[in-house]
Amino acid sequence: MDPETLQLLDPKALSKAESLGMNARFIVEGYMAGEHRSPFHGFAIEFAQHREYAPGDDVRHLDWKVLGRTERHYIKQYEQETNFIAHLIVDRSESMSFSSGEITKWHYAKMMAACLAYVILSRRDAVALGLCDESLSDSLPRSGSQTQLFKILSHLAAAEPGGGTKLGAALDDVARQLKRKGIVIIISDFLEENDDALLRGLQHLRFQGHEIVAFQLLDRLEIEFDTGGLVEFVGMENLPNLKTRPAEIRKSYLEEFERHTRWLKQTFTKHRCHFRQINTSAQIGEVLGEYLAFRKSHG
Amino acid sequence: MSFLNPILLFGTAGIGIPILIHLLNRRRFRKLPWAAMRYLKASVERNQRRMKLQDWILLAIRCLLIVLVAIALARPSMKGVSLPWLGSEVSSIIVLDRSASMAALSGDGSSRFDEAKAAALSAVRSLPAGSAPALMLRPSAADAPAWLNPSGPDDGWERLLENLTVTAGAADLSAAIPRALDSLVSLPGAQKEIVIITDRQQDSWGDSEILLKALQDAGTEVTTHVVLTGEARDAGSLGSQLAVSSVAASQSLPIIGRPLRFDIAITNHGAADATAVPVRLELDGEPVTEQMQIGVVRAGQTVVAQSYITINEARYHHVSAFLPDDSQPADNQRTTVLQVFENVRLLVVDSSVGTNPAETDSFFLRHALATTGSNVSVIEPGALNQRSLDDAVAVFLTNVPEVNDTAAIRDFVRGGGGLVIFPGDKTNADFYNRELAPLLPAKLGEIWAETKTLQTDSYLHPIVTPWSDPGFGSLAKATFQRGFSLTTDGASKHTGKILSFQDGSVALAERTVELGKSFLFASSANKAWNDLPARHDFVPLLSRVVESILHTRDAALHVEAGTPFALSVGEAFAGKPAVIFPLFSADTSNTQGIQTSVASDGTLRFDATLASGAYEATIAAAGERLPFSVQPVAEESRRNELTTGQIDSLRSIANVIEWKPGFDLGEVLASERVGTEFWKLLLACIVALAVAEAFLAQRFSRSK
Repeated sequence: MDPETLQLLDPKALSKAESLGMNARFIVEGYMAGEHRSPFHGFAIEFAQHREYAPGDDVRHLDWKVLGRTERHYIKQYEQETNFIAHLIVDRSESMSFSSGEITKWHYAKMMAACLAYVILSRRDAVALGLCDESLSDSLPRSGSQTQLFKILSHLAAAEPGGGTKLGAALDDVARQLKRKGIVIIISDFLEENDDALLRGLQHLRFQGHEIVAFQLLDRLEIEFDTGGLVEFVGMENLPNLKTRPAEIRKSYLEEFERHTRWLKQTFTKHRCHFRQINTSAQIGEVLGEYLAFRKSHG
Repeated sequence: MSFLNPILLFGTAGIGIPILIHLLNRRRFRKLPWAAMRYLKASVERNQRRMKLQDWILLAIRCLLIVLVAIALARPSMKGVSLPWLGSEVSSIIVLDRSASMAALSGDGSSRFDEAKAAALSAVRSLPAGSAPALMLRPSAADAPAWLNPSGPDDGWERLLENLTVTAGAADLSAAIPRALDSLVSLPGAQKEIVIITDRQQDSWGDSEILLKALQDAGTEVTTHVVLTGEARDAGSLGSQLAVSSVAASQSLPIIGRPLRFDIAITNHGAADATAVPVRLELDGEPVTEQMQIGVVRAGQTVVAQSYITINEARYHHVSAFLPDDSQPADNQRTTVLQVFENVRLLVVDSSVGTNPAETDSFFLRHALATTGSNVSVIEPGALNQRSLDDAVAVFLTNVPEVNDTAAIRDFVRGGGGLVIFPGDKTNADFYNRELAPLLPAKLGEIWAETKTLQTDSYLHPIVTPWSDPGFGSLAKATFQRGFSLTTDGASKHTGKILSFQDGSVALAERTVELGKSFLFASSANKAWNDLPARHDFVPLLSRVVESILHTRDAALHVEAGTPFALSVGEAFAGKPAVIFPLFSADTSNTQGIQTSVASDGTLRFDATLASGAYEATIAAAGERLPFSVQPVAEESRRNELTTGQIDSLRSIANVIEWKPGFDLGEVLASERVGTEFWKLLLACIVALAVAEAFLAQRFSRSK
């Protein structure tokens, strides 16, 4: 990312919603050039494609003809045009404020959310926003109006990270509040201590028929853990400090990190959710462009 | 267990350094806010115990390293443990005094040297296995330590020590000890000691300031033991102690068939008078006279006994004088060597030959020389050459303007001949000063013309000593009208003034040139310039000059014990084998003689002049026998013991041990030694620990 762009992503500039919106627009129109039909498919009238049946799918959408000919369970998907709802769930816990460089995970998450909102609203679909920490602490009702983007941006700009992470509980809250099926896009570092709670929240959402897309934002240092010397790690979210020589435990740390990442990938895959781990040093435009292209090609 | 540098044990306090660093490191943690604590916490929990254990291991190793370094520097040692690979071996030099004074007998009949040998044996036997002992058996500047079998004591050196005998020479500890210290300091061994076994003879210690400085400079690196053998005795407790202090032929020409007088000086170095002292004289190993007896030799006095021997064979002869054995046997005999001639051939060079004999320059001279019994030949200057000088004892130049073959004269004098110059009005002073400068005792100056007389007293030079007695004659009665001004080189030890005029100017000077001698008179040998040649004092003066030439030649055949004998035999014999035999010795163990060879410069050299007595060198190629004698060192006869104060000052820098019968020197030395040092073992441990620390630190710091 060039310095000029980094300047645009400066926290002070982002403090204003307009600035956030401008950046989102800049990213979407700059990096993601070309037409972007919404890859978030809902249940509309116009047939789009088949996809393999997964537990929890509505059996009403099974393609009986295909089943009769091939004995395979396929569901007919339809291109949604007007009634698609995207729920942006952004983690605002204190852990999101971590950064080893210029950009915190929180800033990155806000930018991602702004970009996604811009993309979705540009297709006249509806977007809702939820900010969560230990619960769903703030939310903005869905809307497909043109003013919704500014509301989302204002909400994001006004929010500050803080509090603990109980993403599982927050997803439970989201599941309880959503009345209509849609796509739930979770932007979080997923540093949830309680994996079972996360799993329950995820299952709750899936049970209600929501499609789930998860973006795990992690700082480069959290991924590579290549710091040295004698370090006292000050625990965020009121976790106790730890003194150690990180170079001597790096291998163990990376194993732990890989184990958790593997669990997240397996869990989300098992529940037919999309999971992307994102290094916050990567350019948002490229990350989103790559994901949207993937989604478009794979349904 | 003891420590050689115990003060350095304070270094163990350095154990606090790694602990302090460890504690300070704990305060040097960099704070970093961290979100992904779940990964970190699991990793830390998994590794914390291991890391703490590793920290403690490294801390313990580092502390141990500090402690071991401090202990190693303190040089721990343990007596009674002999581990050569740990450095228990000792580099020891035993300086054994074999000077003549060591032959002194104690009350029980054993000599100081017997005690010294016992001490040396005990010292060597006490060395730990693997030690390297060395012996210095002729303590002097020329003596280097002879290292014995380093693998340990064996019978070889025991036999060597047991067969050692005392020498007739002196010891120079002040030269030998610094040399021994130099040799020791250059050795890598940890334990070094020098054991000086000597008597209390003060002369052996030489320049004590040099010695004390050398020992102080060696410091603690070398342990010095001084073993004093023999009992300390005050002067009053000494009985008589006689020594033959000189044997010399009197001032007369040694010609066969003539009775030669020998003066035998007997000195009593003891505290009591000696009475009825028998003196035995031998010629070439055979008694020649009835045994003489000296009535009394008072303590501290010297008595000269005289004996006449008629020798009938023209060659070199050994004459020895013997005293009965006493408590100091080394100085009870002395031998001299002299050449006896059939006739003494003297060559007079006269440029005025052919004129009226009475008016020649050499008229008075040749008649005066003839009265001494010499065979006098007169030749012209042109006839003077190498051949004419053969068999001549001396050549006299009387008013000779110049000589042709100056090289022949130089070789003649250097080889033991005499040159006597009487200048005159024809003498070319410039020629003499230039061509004969290496031989001239004085430089010929201007001719003076005034009346002078010779000195009336202070006849100190041996040649003119008899004129101290007015009854012998009076040189001062001679008058001189003309003569050359003579300038001697006062700084040269080879030149000297024999006679002076009353105004102090030089009348007769001498110069020693290697084996020969030259004399220069200020005035002529005839009555043209002075009336001395016509006076009866002229004959004895010339006789004593010739005798002096002969004695100078013979003096080269006498060396003090311990001083190398060196005689120039000519470059023609360079490299030729030679054999040196001790003559008339009761010791028949060395019948083969000592094999040697003539050096490249034509010098026959013999260093082992240990025993006094008569010797003979034979050069096979020449078929000629060269006699010489080794004489005991006179200083060794004197009782000049170290004072209590001197021994005390010695104690300040050395461990002084006063030997007593039954004394176990080895036990004392062993108790002074440090035993086995453990610094090498500790050093190995330190290196191993340092390697382990580096390895573990590197291994522990690997990511896990």
